[in-house]
Amino acid sequence: MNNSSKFVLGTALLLLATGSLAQAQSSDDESLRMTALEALITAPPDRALPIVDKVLAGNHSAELKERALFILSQMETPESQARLLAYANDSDGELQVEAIRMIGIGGDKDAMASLGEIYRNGDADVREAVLEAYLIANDATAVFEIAANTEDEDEFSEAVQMLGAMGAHDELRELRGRAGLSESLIEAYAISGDAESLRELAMDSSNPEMQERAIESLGIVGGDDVNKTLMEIYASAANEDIKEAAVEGLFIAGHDEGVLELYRNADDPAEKRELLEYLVLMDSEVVWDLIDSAFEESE
Amino acid sequence: MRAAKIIAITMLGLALLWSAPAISAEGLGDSDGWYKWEVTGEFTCGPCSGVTTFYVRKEDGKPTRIRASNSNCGKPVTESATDLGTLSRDESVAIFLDIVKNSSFDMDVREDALIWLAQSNSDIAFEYFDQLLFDT
Repeated sequence: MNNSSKFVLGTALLLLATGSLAQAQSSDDESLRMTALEALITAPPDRALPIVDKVLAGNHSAELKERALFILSQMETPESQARLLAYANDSDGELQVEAIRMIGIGGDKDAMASLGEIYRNGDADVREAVLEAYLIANDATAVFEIAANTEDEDEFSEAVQMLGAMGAHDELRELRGRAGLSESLIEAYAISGDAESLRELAMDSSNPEMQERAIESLGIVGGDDVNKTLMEIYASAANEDIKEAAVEGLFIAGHDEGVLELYRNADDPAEKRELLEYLVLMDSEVVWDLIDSAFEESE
Repeated sequence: MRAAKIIAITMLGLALLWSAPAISAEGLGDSDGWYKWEVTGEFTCGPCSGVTTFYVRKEDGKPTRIRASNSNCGKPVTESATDLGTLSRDESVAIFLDIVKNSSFDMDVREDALIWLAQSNSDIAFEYFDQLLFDT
């Protein structure tokens, strides 16, 4: 290697080294900026607010602005809450959506009360963010109002799913009385773990389609009591559809011992075959017991 | 060979350029171990009020930890510490600024210093926040 080649190689290595150092420095600076912003939570609000405002108004990264909104949500002063609300009302895109979520995190009563109007005037993203804010703040009443007052099926479904995630049994039960039964309501009962409502619906044959959905959904709730109920439903099923819904529920619940019991009690070869298929689908160890028994019988 | 020398000299120069000075001797001494000082009623530490004692630990000549205690919150450091007596808020802010600005110090201790600066209610500290966040 001649001298000029060595020089070029050396310079390249030096540039690589300086590049890495500059990158590390830049990463430290960004980390310090983030910490500085977060540290403002502990600062006197009159000191922190102008800085947070400036971050939100400036050309900063989305992450830094998101933290700034979080600081606002934690400051608990009327001025900070008013700012947060202004961003939730008047900004757009991700900043608006984050401001709405931060209202949920802060949980300020007045700011939370303003979310209803933002929801009514907002697009799909805004509405989703408001529902999330209610979820974060665990405001089941507000979500119930949305579900109870809408005539839009999708909006009802989203609100009801949120109530399910919140475990809002009372609100979901009241919706059944008001809005009638629907598939999304049954799903929400399952998500919320309301076996009692599902059991009641599983025994109600007035709407066979909903009855089958309720039986299947019991499997999502799971547990010994539910398994017992599903076994009883299967045993006393008035038709094949109910039987299938019950075994589907057992499949979802992962109760392979129950399916095995049904298999052993079944006389009809077609029924046996179907139950065996479920056991295979469940990847159940009991299938091997059945194979062993079959071999023993043949010997 | 000449090229190698040029590179070596350049690297040495850059290394010297990047090596940051040690923490301000105005605030802390040179030896390792804990240093402590008191500040009266100038730092807003949530429920804390009254006299705050700050502790800074130095290892290998660099600050590595910051702790604070008050009659209402925080536990005092029980190990022996060099007592710097009572310092003013601005003197304390100067120490914390030295720590934050020195890129050769560990990020954890620099970030701890930032948190105390935020609670200093000092114009100098908040000017630094402004500079850090908005000067590119």
